[in-house]
Amino acid sequence: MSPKTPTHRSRADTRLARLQRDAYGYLLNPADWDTDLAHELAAEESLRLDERHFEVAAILRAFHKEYDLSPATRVLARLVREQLGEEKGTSLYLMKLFPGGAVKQGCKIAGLPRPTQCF
Amino acid sequence: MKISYLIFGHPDQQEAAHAALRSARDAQASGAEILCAFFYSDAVETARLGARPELADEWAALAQSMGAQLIACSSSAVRRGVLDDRGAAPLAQTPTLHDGFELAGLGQLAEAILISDQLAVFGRQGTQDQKSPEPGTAQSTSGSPLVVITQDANNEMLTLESLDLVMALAAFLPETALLFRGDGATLLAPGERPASKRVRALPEYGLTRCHVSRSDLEAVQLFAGSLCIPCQIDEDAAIEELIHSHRPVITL
Repeated sequence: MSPKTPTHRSRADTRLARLQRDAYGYLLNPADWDTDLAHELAAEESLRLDERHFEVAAILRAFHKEYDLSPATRVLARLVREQLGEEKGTSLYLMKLFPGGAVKQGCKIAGLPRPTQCF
Repeated sequence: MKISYLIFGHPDQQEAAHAALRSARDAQASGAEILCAFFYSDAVETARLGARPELADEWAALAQSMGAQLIACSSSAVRRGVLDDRGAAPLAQTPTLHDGFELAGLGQLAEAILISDQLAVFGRQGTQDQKSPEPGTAQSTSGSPLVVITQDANNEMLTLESLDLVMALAAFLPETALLFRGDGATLLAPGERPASKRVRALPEYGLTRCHVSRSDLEAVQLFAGSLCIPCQIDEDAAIEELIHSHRPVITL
């Protein structure tokens, strides 16, 4: 395997296949993102999106725009609680939405870079 | 006595990793129990496989003999291409982490502080604040931590790493306070640079105890109304008291 070989698979005919991504399949440029791409990214993760995913993705994208940073999981849970209500601002709810990790998988589907912080 | 070590400096340019090793050996000889040595920022170079085999081997042997954790910060390491098996595989690269070390997050540092009686910090050269404890001093961990940032954003990666350390400590140790000191006061200027944005994120992480001295603010030509986050402005005597009343003090 050459160092450039991506570990993710995407069909050659999709828009996603033509965009620049890192070795883990994260988009390199958040501006490339839209809802169609989100569905394509989710399909790679065997995840079916609905409006609940998109409202969390919007919070992740707003945080990233403001701070150039992905929030820690507990920070995300607090923001979700403040903006979407008590019952959604729990790690259990977020884990069910994004089984691969609310921040880790959430950022991928929201078209954000791979989170690099270690806490 | 349970003691942990926090090391920042690059092993080739700075004494930190070597001085910490000598200090850990002395501690071991005097009967202390070493729980964790945490290598952060440029100090993760200590854990690079084959780069400084003697230093890494000696750390590994010491840790093994004590059952201590030998940790290189995972984010600092990945940024510098120090990869364990798990990190190297997706990039189709060869692991570059010495096998005596493990990669882990800053949460492990917070935990080490919580379970240790003392923390010894071996920082970067040129960052020492004269009011702070001497580098390598074994400090009590029973108080609230204070992080002192003394450098401007000239080296962006190091600045972002300093701020990440504060954020992580604040997440696990809510009493954590932050002091912008000397050139570090320039980080309070508003702006859209990555370091400015990271400073603005501090309150999101629960870090509300930020301090700066009036004289440092004046020296970098900033004013109370123009700071990018809420910050308490103290006279020099209050800063001295702030440093005295917090332990451990981590100067970056």
